[in-house]
Amino acid sequence: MGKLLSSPKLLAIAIGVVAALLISVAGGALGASFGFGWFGGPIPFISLPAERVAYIGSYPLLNTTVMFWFGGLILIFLAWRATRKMSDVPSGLQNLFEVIYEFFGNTVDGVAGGKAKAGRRFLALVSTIFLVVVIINWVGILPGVGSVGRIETIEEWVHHHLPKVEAKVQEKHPEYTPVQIEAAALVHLLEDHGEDTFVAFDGSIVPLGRGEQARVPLNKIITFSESGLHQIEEAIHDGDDLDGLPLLDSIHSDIKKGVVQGEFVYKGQDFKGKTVGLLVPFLRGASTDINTTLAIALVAMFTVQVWGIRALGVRAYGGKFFVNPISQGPIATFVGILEGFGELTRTLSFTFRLFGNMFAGEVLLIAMAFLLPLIGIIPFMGLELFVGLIQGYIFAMLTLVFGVMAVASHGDHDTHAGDH
Amino acid sequence: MDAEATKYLGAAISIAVGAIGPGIGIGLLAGKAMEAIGRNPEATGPVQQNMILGLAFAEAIAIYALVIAIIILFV
Amino acid sequence: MPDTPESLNTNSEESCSKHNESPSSKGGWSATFVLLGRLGGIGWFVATTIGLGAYGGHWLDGQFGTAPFLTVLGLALGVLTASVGMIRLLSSIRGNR
Repeated sequence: MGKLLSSPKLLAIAIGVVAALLISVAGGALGASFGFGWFGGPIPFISLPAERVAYIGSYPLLNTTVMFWFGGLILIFLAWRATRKMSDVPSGLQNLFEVIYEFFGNTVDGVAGGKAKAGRRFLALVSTIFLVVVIINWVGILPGVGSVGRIETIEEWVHHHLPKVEAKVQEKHPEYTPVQIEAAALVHLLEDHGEDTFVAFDGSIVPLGRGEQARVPLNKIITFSESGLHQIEEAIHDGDDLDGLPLLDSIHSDIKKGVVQGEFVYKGQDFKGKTVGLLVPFLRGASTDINTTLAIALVAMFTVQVWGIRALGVRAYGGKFFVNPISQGPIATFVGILEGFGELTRTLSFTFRLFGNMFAGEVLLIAMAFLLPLIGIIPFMGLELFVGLIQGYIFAMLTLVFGVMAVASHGDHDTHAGDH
Repeated sequence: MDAEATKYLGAAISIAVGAIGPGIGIGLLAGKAMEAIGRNPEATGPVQQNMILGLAFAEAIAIYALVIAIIILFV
Repeated sequence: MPDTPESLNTNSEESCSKHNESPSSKGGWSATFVLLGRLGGIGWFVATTIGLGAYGGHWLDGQFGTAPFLTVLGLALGVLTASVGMIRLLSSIRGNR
């Protein structure tokens, strides 16, 4: 402390850091409840399934698919750069790739055991899985990913949320016609989410975090009132013709327009007529999509089966799962079936491990960017880097371990690394 | 208690209780690994690698609980 | 971070002599401000690159009418340029010290 106070430079830097901290806290979500909140971090809109960015013909292109291609292109480019002019004494990118390759070469030999270079058949897939998973994890936390996107309008939001409510309404009132179900579901949706806030934008492209975005509740966007909703419910109950009902029509047209209807003043700026919606990012880390992780897991487990069949032959490898109950006893058959289920469970486990880690990390980053704008995200970025690397390593190593277990004939059971 | 409140409660309880077991497991695992490293610093490499493997299995359970919580909340 | 001004002083005295005209070799306040300016500039560089990529892509989309494809492409290029540029800027700052 004495050193801090004596040197003026250190003191200035310390004051600067504390000032930055206070500005960030005051400008973020905590300060917003006190009237500050000039940073206006974007309200987290967390969606488990990946969002559609565009349509190629009728095929919806997801934002994670785009990032997977992006990551793949980066990997191809890095590999090309590393192997352009290969020298005997490597340096730079070639050195990095050689380190990774050598590390996995040694590990594979060590885990596979047996004669020297017995594990070389595992090396290609294991190191590929490591590189792919690490690259798509790291590319998923680059700046600009998950923060730049398009606006999901009220219409799309309603379209997204309506089916669930419709299902519930259908259960309660199976006698309603589809039009009635939709109207009843709309009423329920508005009742439940009337206070939900959306973000009002200034135009078609908006830099968020300018502090001018307002959080507009739903009842200012779609004008409805308690009595109006009751009227619609009665009309549905009575079985009236809902086509010409003016309240319903106005609700539908309000949804289509998706702008702020009533007076809504936020920080002295009137938001009437501005478009409202939620942010759907254009780019999103590929491993935060369960389809990507499932695909990699399926590739890994399928290759494990192929290794087993190649090493042991179809009969011997199939004999692990389909055991003859007469010659080996019924318990062995049961154990064999359990092993088969174990393979399926491992695939699911792969999927959820990588997906859960990456998705939780992304949600954490979004939430921290919202709560503590400038500085809150710094330690979690470091954590995300680390977790991305570790998850790639774990995926590769587990593939290796399962591969080694698959090629092990019934004689040597000492390499049993555990079935979770 | 209406459905929304039960949903939130269910998600919270799922991840809260689901993280107890893996937390204890990872703590035990890392502790034993530290012991092994302390006793034989030359074996740090293999011990570390195998510890990370074990960590993966233990953490996967916590991730299952987290995925259930997220599914309850958002789907 | 609290140690940087001290080490900046000693490092710059040992660095090669052809740089002793620049403010970073004088040490003291100028060196600190130059370093802080460079570090702050990285943040602005990243933000503006990504913003330019996204805006540029969106504008081109408006010109050619290819709904969001060019925006996404522009954004991806912006992210790539931003991250590669950030690495280069950081390594140049490190190399200079």
